[in-house]
Amino acid sequence: MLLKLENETLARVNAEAAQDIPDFGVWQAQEPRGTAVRIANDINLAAEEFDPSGLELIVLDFPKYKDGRAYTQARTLRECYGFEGDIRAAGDVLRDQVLFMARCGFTSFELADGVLERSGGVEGFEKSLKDFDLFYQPGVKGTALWRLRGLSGATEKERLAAAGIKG
Amino acid sequence: MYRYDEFDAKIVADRVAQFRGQVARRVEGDITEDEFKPLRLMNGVYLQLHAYMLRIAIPYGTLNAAQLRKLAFIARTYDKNFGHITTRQNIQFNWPALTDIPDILDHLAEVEMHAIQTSGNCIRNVTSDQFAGAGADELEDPRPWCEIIRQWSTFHPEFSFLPRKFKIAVTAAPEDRAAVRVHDIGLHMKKNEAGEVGFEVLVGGGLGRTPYIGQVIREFLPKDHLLSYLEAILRVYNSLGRRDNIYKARIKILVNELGAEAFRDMVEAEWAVMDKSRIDLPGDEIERIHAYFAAPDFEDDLDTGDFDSAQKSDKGFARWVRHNVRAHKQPGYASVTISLKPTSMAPGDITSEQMELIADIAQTHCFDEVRTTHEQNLVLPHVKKADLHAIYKKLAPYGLGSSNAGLVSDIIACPGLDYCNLANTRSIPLAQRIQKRFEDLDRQENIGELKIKISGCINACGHHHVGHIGILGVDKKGEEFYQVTLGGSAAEDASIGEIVGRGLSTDEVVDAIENLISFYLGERSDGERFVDTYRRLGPDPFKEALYVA
Ligand code: HEM
Ligand code: SF4
Repeated sequence: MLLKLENETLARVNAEAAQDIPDFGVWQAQEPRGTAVRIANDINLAAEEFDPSGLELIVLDFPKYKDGRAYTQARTLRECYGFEGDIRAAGDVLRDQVLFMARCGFTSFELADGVLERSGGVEGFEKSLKDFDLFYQPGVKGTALWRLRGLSGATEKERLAAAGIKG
Repeated sequence: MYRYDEFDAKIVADRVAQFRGQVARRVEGDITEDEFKPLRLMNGVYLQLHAYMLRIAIPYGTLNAAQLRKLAFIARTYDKNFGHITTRQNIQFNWPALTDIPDILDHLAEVEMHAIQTSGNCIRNVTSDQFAGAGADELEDPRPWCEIIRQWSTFHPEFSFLPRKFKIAVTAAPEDRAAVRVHDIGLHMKKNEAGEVGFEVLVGGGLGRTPYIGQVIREFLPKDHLLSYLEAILRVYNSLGRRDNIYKARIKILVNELGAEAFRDMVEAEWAVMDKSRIDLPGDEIERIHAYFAAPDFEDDLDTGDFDSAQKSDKGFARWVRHNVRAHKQPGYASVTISLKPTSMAPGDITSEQMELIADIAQTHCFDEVRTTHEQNLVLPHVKKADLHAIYKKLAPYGLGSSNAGLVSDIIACPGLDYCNLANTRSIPLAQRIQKRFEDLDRQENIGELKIKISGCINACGHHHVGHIGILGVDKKGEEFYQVTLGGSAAEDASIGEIVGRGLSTDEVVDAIENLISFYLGERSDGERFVDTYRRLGPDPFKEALYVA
């Protein structure tokens, strides 16, 4: 069961399951290398010689939803390697983490059996994606609030005055 | 203090709505308890021995009167009329019903408060010096930087599922009142040779079952780069911190397994390639936040009124001034520690009526500001000396006039077996027995500064490792025993206490503490605190003294 994020909406799509995608070691040995790879979450991308050009899909793993290493991997792929293809979250992927994932650069979500049904369906996932529309820090997706503050027009004095403080 | 703009308010309101939905889905059974647990923890909802506990964030310990009144209302309406100030400057309520919690969060949002990230494996409420903005010894007010960290760390998408909880403390005075050396990251503001103020960055301090003092990984970090540097540290930790064993998951273990230098090299490497301009705040946003912390309108050339004469006529007041009143950077003003350690209450407990009284005093006499301290007391940071006697006379009838700040009865104690399902022993009753034994105020004053800290188990919530006298609850064949440690400190001379002797039974432990103190009184030389004498003489003579009948 796969959900893909495009233009702020989630859609069900059919695609190869994560378990059928070659893992990092297999992919590295491929000649020529394929367009999809599955990277375990204990592979430290910051320390690897890694060239994602030619890749269209990278699958990152959440063995337990509490194990957050793949968040750093996704951001590293987007921000350090400039990877622009699909980053899929697989494993223990739940509705309540999907916004964090999207903000770190994930663009698709592979759900275990039964998860969609007890999450209010695709709509439930979309609702959680929209739990917040303001973010204090920059992410792969979502502008940092301090940038908005700079743009919102009010002067410092006006802002402080509105908060009841003498500037 | 910081005030929300429309954006901050919306984020907190969205969080309450999100949590309300999550609670409803939990009640429906759509989320399992295992899946719900981190969601509620990230909102401060803990499951204790008897009930849910709600931990509310008091960012860097700063409160205004309206907030304190709201906490009093919550205590009265949803709890048993009291709250509990924690060692991380937060407040806890021990008896709320889970289904009331979204409503409590709505009430909190009205006064710009929340329970975000007070629990869970995320970046916790950032703590600071309770005398920030008031102390004569500080370089600058560290709280704007705390607020910058609060905002950056709130719902950080990459760092919300860390290997373990993560605590940051910031201080800007040479005397470290924020215990920065026993935090995951400690930030100590210092001047470099060029006279610029920046951060000394310490990593890997912590208590728990394996206590460590933090190590310096950067002598001087320019202020503007604070967030990118923190991001680099967290990124290394999130990637490499251990997840196979909950007891080895804190950053202190990673730093010590790798070695501080290797850890630093990784952080610096990460930091070097990072696009800092995306993460670090621009100057105008840094200024915007600083503006909220501008010094209040202090008056010049103040008359000190009856401050001196009242100390002659009112001995109780004079004693309170000696122990609970502290010099202020502005002439004519002082800072007051309101002790939450009277003999009859659990350390750190405060009733609704007490909160309301203090809110009134803060509004009338203290520029609408109150602070919480990691030693589980409250502080009025800026009051006129001329008002001190009046304030004392208002506090005393409410049980808030104890003159024991920093003395033997100013004990830190964890909730222990009275609330906590991990406890081996009770902590609160032991604290009360020690307070009772040393009730005599002249005797306390004679003993001088002495920090006793009690934890009911090795998790060290009561900071026993860094007590001048630490007391740790252990379980021996189902019986409660107490292990004493000596010589710890959480201040700028941070050290981990050493275990002395065998475990003591509930009946023995108070006598043993008294023996140690009597020995110290016999041995001390001029001006030495308990911990100084201990450091001079070493553990052996104290070990012997422990068992003197
Ligand atoms: C049900 C009640 C509580 C439980 C089950 C609990 C549990 C724990 C656990 C398991 C740890 C060790 C974490 C680790 O280092 O890996 C810990 C540490 C700690 N807790 Fe608690 N706790 C409780 C209440 C409190 C309270 C009320 C406070 C504040 C007064 C508190 C403050 C702390 C502090 C400061 C630490 C030390 C953290 C460090 O290692 O630096 N805890 N707690
Ligand atoms: S130290 Fe142990 S007994 Fe005390 S609150 Fe923490 S976990 Fe509970």
